[in-house]
Amino acid sequence: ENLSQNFIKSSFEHPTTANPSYTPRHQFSMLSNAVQRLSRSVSRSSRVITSRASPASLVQKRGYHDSIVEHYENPRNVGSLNKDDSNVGTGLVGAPACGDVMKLQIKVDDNGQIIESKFKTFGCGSAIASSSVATEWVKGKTVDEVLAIKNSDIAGHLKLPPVKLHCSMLAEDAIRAAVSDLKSKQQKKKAA
Amino acid sequence: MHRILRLHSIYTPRLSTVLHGRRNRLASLFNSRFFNTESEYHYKADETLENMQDILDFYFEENPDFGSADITYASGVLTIQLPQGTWVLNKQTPNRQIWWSSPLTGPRRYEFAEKRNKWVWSRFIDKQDPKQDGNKFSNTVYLGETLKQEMFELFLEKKGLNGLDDL
Repeated sequence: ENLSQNFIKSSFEHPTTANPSYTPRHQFSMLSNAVQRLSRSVSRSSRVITSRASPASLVQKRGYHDSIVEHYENPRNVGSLNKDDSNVGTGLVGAPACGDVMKLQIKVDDNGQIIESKFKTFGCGSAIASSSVATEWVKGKTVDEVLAIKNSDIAGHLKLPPVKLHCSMLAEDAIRAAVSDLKSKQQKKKAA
Repeated sequence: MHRILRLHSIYTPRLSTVLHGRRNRLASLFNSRFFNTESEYHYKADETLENMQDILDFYFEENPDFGSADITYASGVLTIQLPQGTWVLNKQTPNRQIWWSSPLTGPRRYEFAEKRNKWVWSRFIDKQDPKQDGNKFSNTVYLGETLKQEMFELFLEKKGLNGLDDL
């Protein structure tokens, strides 16, 4: 049956859909695999998926909340900013062996307000959704205001299940890392 | 065509990436915080999580009026299901950590401190991240201590949880 074939294929691509409880994703130990998955997760977000079962068709079995599915299928702000730009802060957190890597970038104007934000995430649907939400929330805020964004806000907004709370923490860390990078760049610029 | 993402400048606010060369240098600085072999880690983590399961089983058997508690430990994941929510404690082997997720305290990572023979909240190990939440659990350093405080918060009973002081 076509749906079950897609389910098997997607469960290989998305181990979390196959097993509701924790699946050790540390089995992905080769960095090149991680990079391939990162580029696939990015390309997935910019193309309509036709060949694999989307999480929406599995939602009654797996229980992903609609908000996570929405961010997974239509992630906001996927992409890159020029990391050498002095107005751009880049936060890169996580490790492929742990299953999640997030790159979150923010661009500020001269007033310190964040005007643009982009992300790229390698990881599960919850990780992608968490970082997508993070990029949405940082826009229009100042650099100091975004430090008040807490992982519990992201987790509550997405209704993350217990095992996926770590994704929201990583998203919070990514915001802080981006702010920290921006601040250190601005310090260097002042010193020069 | 996607450019290869260079990950050589990974920034982790928590000291959670274990790289072999660094580990040996850091081991001396942090009192051999990391395990020497992965099997040591598995032994210690399994032992810790199984102990927690036993202690909690006993606790809820002794106090049936606290409600139904479903406590399972399988494939390195300890799941505690109470009416108040679900706790998930799992082994994170690449980092040699225990990852914790609680409805009261959220996600945390615990690393083993051999000097104290206990699992320590990684925030207290990594000096880069000393932020305080200001909530009542922000100073629970050890794994067992955190669970004990939470159970006390919910049920106002500490009797039977003394085994958690060692974890």
